[in-house]
Amino acid sequence: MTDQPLLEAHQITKQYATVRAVDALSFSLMPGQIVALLGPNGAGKTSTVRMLIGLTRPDSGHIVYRGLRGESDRVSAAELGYLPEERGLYVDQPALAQILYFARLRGIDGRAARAAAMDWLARFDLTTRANEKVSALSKGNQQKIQLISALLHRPRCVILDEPFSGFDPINQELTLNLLRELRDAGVGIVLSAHQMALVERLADRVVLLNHGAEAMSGTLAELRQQAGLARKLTLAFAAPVDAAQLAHLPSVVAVERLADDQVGLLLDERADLNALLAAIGAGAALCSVQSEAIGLHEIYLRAVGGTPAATPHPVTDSATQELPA
Amino acid sequence: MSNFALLWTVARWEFMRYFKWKQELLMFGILILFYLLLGFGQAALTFAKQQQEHQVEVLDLAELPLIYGADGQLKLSRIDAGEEAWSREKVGLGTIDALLIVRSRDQVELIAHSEPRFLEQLQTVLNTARRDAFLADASITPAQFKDWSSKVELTLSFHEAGEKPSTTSEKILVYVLLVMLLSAVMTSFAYFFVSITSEKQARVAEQIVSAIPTQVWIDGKILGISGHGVKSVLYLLLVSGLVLAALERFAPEVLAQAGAIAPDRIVVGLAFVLLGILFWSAFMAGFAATIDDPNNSARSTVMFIPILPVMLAFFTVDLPELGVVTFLSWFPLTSMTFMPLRYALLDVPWWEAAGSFALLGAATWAMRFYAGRIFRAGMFMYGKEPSLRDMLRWLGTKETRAL
Repeated sequence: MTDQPLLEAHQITKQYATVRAVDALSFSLMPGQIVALLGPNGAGKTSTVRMLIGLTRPDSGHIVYRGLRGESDRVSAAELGYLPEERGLYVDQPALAQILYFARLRGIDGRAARAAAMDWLARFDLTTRANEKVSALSKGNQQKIQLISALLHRPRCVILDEPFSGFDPINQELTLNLLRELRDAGVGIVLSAHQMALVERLADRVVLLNHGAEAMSGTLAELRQQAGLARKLTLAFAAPVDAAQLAHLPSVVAVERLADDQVGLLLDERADLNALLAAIGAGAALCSVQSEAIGLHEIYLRAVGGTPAATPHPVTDSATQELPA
Repeated sequence: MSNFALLWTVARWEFMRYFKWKQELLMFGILILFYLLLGFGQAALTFAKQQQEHQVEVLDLAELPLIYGADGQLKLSRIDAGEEAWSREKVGLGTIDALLIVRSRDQVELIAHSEPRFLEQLQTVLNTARRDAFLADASITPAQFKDWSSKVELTLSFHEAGEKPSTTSEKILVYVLLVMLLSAVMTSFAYFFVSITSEKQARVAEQIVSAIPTQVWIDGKILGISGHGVKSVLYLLLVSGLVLAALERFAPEVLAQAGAIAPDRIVVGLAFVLLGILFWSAFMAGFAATIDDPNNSARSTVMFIPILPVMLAFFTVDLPELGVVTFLSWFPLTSMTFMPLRYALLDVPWWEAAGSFALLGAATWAMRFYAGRIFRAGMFMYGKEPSLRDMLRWLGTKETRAL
């Protein structure tokens, strides 16, 4: 990694009629770094991405790319790779033809583009389908074509809106490894995704957005600290328990009733596990205890208010907890 | 990569998206077949008409000096009053075409089996016989009458400084140019409509605009898709060439009668047609971007706007010297049809054509520029169509990039 950021957003704000889509958002992207933008629908992710790729201009604030600032300092198309959230493909055209077209628009000459395209298609196991129309491909394969189009010209900075969309677990792993490779090669990546488990494994930094503004940002460890969450305990009891009573124990931030005899506890970083388990065991017979570090999922829900965990000592029913789409 | 290279890349892509060799050959083949069938059909119809003989029996109660026997396709046979009933029966059976009953010089009845296609010829025969009967009453011979009624020989010549009348060929040239423009613009419009609305629905715009400036994209689009309009002009030129070659080979007298066309009239006409295609293409590119759902938008009717100058020009082919035609030949929304019309039919000075062409060129340049602004905003408006007010506001918004 070099010291100069690849991309910096300084207090960018975007207003659409009465809605403030992005509110004074700042973050930076270093070469060889992956920054994830997370947030519920309408949080301002797509508006932010649109400003980053230059489709719209911030109403206030500014974006700096490799030290260049201002509207006239357009990023060279060859340096930027972009994967839109929705399919941005000509469905009536052959897959290879449009990969080559997008590569030409990014400044790659025909022969080099063809060679690179064939390599990418082989990597995604699509060589035999290169000349098929996009409409004949499955959603996942269309996403692969889109991903190839965004990466074929070897950009320095890649902005990916929902890169895992439409992929099965195997292809999600493939994409995950691919993005890691790019990062290791010094490419800076901004991604917006809903697959928390994948983002957790991939992102170096996370920016959590809510109502257009930054709710939290940092590494996963920093986010845990900011959220005041450290661990999650999953407890199984010999008999049904009153989950609400557990909410008043020290260091318990939230309680989740998983079943009549199963409870999940979210603990802050000061939690003394021995003392806590002793206190719980004194009130009810424990069958099993499972402890794990807090994940992005819980932090996300807490940050965007998707669960009563945002209020002190809440109790929730696991069946009601769904990640916003 | 330079903007020019990008423009060419986009133009090529947009053209090739809809260019399929098999389809093109098939379409051209159908066009040729259509003209062949039209030519052969016309010839076959004329031949059939020439071969057909119409049999008419005549019951002449007024003693008109009719000529009996075959006269062209009409064959008259005289019958007596006693044969009328039988003759009527024959008409009913269709063995003869009609029965003609001449009751007096002014009253004649025709009883026909079906629509009499020989009516015009029969009317002439009857008029001549009636006239000859009156001439005989007045002791005037048909030769004398012919001599008296012959026309005065009038020689027409034109002053060198005046306007020479346009030839049939020149009028045909105007019609061909108008049809070319209409066909090309409608072809381009259809492709623009399909291309832009489908791109908007497939959200391709973000992908492209993240790579190239919007103006380059729309310029490439205008060039590429207009190519299909130009292609339809070429097809018409090719077919026209084949028709001319066929006439030269089989009916040179038709060409000689039609008269020659000065090459500059063709060149100027084609130049205006090509620029007109670009002008309307730029218009459509901007407008199509404001259509959200092509299946439900009432805006599709805007496709008919370019038909207006063509229709107006059709109506003024016989009146090219009118002042309003001169005005319309300079006005950029109509000059693509009216200047070729005036230039083909009148002796228009070259500077007028050049001036009008320059104005149309400037209007086309401005149109693609402002269409670019509407296009840029329209392509990213989903779920609703912009109002006229929105569009006017966009016209004043220059392209901006955040990075």
